[in-house]
Amino acid sequence: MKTFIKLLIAMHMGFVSLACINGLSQVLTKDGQSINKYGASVLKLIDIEIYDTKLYEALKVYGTCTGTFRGYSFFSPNLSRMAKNFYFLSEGNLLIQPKMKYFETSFKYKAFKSGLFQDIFSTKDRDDYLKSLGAHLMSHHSSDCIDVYMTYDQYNDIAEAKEDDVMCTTENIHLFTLRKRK
Amino acid sequence: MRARILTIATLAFLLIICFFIDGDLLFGKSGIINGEINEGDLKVFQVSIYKISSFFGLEQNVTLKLLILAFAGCFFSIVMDKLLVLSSIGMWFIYWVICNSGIGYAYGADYFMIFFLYYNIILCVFRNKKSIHKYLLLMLQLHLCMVYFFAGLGKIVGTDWWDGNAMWAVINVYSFDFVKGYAEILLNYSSILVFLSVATILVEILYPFLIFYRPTRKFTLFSVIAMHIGIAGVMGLFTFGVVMTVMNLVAFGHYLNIKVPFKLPKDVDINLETAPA
Repeated sequence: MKTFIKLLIAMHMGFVSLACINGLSQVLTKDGQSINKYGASVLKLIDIEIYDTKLYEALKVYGTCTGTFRGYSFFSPNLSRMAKNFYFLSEGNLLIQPKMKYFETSFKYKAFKSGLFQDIFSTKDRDDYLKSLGAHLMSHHSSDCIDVYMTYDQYNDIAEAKEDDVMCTTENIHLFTLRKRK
Repeated sequence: MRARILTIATLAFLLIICFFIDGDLLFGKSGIINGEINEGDLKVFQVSIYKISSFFGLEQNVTLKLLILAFAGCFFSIVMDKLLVLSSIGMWFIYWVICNSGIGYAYGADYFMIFFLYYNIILCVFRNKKSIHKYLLLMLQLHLCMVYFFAGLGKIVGTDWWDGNAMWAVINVYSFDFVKGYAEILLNYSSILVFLSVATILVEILYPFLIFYRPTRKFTLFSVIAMHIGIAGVMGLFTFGVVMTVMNLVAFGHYLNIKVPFKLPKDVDINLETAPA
């Protein structure tokens, strides 16, 4: 029994290490990341070739079932200073987005909204989710046509903010128009 | 051991209630995320409410309610100390299915909860094997060490966490509006931002070493819990904070030597003595 549990621990730790290294390598190789000299050495160390193998795909099943497949490089190595959001307009009127009753579901909805503009989803996925949300709003606001807008606020870093202002740009972008099928 | 099993099961039960209240809006037929779109982000083996509903010909909100009822049944079975293994598997499976059903809503707290419920299965399976309880505890302790070490390593190689810009971005981009109101004041005391950023890196990367070293273990535990309270207060990640704090207390809480102010029933074994020093 002891041997079994020791093997289980070893296997679990082995997988979590791989998932963590994979997660770390993904955030470090993202475009435009500012990495210090230690970062370059760490990147060399973690540059291993296992991630395209069938073994890793099989291990990912374990990771997906145990919630450990993404690794733990939260908010690493740097943080974006751009706040993105979206809103819906129908005939020039701002549509009120769904309101959750419970604080945890409100937070989940907030996480969903902020996740849409991160690397978790492709642009196509993001638009599909926005269309789904738009369809939900159409049915609740008896609207036939909805314009979907994205807004982003770019913040200065500390040094720039001391010289200039906390926020430097705010922009609204029209993403697409949704129309009800007749 | 039983106290740990009950703690994990209770935490999961409290989290699942929110889906009962807002489930229709999140997963229902006319909910925010269409089930078919969500399926596109899932692997074949990932069971979801949409898949179950299609298979049994049920409405998605009916499936969700049935799953939550089954989850409650499993929870009460664990409270009553009956069918522990089966119930813990049921709790893990249902939580996993619900998270799969809205992959866009799932965030760190959910993934940690899935791991916690998986760990609960192992606790339930080996609850009567006292000789291996210390290994079970070690598994959670090592897992936490890995989590914090890699979280710290990711931050240490960038530039934002060294010059305070990470904390600055957290306040401006990710925090509550009332916190954002203090941004300009904090700009005059930017050394506070640098201190908080560097302290976060140090707590995370040194956690695996300091938590096992007797003179620093209590300080480390308090520091990491304080960090989660800070994250919850500034960024609103309350559930994440609670899940991580409970996970830390389940793994290392015995270091605090808290005296239980009441007599535990004889069959309740909180197993402080067998925990590794």
